[in-house]
Amino acid sequence: MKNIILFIILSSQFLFGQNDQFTLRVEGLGCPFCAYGLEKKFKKVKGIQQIKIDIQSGKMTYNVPTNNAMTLNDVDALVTKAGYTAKGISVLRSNGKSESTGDVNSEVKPTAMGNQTAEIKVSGNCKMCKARIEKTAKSLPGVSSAVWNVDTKILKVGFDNSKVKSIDIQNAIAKSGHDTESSKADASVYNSLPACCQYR
Amino acid sequence: MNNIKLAICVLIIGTIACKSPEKKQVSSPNWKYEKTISLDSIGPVGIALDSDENLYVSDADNNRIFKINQDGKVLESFENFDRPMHISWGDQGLAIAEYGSDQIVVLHQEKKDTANSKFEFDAISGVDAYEGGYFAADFYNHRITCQTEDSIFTVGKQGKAAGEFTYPTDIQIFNQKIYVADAYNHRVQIFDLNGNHKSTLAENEKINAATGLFVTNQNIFITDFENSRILVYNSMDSLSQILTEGLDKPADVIVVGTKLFAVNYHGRSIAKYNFN
Repeated sequence: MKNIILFIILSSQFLFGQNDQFTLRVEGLGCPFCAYGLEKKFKKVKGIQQIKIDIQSGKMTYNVPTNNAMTLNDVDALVTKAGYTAKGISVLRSNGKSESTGDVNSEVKPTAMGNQTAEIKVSGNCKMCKARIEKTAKSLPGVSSAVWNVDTKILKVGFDNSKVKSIDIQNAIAKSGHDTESSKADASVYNSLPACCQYR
Repeated sequence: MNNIKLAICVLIIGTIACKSPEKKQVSSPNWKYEKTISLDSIGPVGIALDSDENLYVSDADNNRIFKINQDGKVLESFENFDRPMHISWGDQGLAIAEYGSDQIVVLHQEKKDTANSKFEFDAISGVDAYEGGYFAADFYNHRITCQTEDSIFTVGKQGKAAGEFTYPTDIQIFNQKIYVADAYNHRVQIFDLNGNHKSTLAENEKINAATGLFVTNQNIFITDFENSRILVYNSMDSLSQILTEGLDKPADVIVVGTKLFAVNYHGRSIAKYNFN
C-alpha cells in the first residue's frame, strides 16, 4: 500500500512538476513601488515561482506549472489589470515549444554606471521639430544620444546623470519651443515656431 | 576722442550688464551637499532614525533592513522581509511597511512582530506610529488608514481632487497634522488628525513621483523620484530650496539636526547634506 502511495506521489510530481518559463517586458516600471506592485499581482497566480524583475530594463521572468496552461493572453490581461503595459511576452513551454508576442528584447539597454536612458514625451509635429528637439538635447553636456519619434512623440535620450538631469533636458527643450512632460514652452517662444511646428 | 568713445562704450556695457536679469533663485538656499555614501548592494527605499541616532534603511530589492551609523557603516542587518518599503521609528520599535505581505511589521531588539490591523491593505507603502497605533499609506487602495487606541478611520479614495490620492507612498504625523506623499498626483497633501484636508504642496513644481517626505519644525522635504530632486519647503509652505547634487532617484529623506540624508534607490547610496 505504501508503495502505491509513493508511486502516485512520484507520478504526480512527474506529471505536474513541469514548468513553463515566461519572459516579458513591461513599460512604466519606474520605481520600486510600481515594480513590486506588479510582482505582488503575479504572486497570486497559483504555483508561480522565481519571479524576477529588473526595474531598469522592465524585464520580468517567472515560472508557472505547465498544468496552469497560462496563455500569453492571460499574461497580457494580468499586466493590464495591474495597470501596466506589456510590450512583449514570450514563453518556453516544458515540452520545448516556444511562443511569443511583441518584442521582449527591445528594452532599454543597461548602461554604464552614471549613465542612463529616459523616454520623455515631447510635443511637436514634423521633421523640423525632430531636428530642433534632438539638436537641443544633444547640445547639453552629458547627453550622449537623442532620438525623437514623430509618431509617438517620445524622445529617447541617453545621458550621464552626474552631469545632467532629465529635468534639465526638458527645460532646454521647452526653451526651444516644445512642451515636455515636466516643462512647458513660453508662449512667446512657441509663437515664433514655424507654422508647421505649432502643435497646440 | 577715441578714449572718450571707449569710455562711453564701457559705461554702456557695464550698465547693461548690471541690469541683466539674474537667474531665478529660490530664497535662502542653506542646505549644502557634503558627500555620497555608497551602500553597495543595498537598494534603499525607506530611511528612519532610532532613539540612539542610528539610521535604518529598507532594502526592498533584497528583503532586508539595515541598521547603519551616520557614516554609512553597517551595524546590523535583518533579513526575510517581504518587500519592506518606508519605515519609521516609534515607541514599539521600527515600524516597517511590508508591501508584499500587506502587514505592518515591527522590529524591536532583533525580534519581529506584526501589528494588529483592522484594515485589509493592498500594498502598504508607508507607516508612522502614533498614540499606540499606526497611520499607513495604502498604495493600491489609494487611501490613508488610521488605527490608534482612540480612533479608526480611512482618508481618501482614488482621484486628483483635494483629499483624494493616486498611489500614496509615504506618511508622517507631525504637530497634529498628517502629511502624505501623494506620489502619482505628484504632490504632498496635509490633513488634520481627523482626516480633514487642510492644504496641498508642490502641485505646480513638476514633480514626477513624490515618493517620500520628511517634516521638521522648519521644513517639509519632498523627494522627486524621477527628476532626482528634493524640494524643500519652509514653514510658510513656500519653496525655499531645490536639492539636486548627489541625488539619483531618491526614494526617501530624513533630517537629523543639521544633517540631511537622502536614500538614492537607483544610485544605491545615501546623499548627505549639511545645513549652514
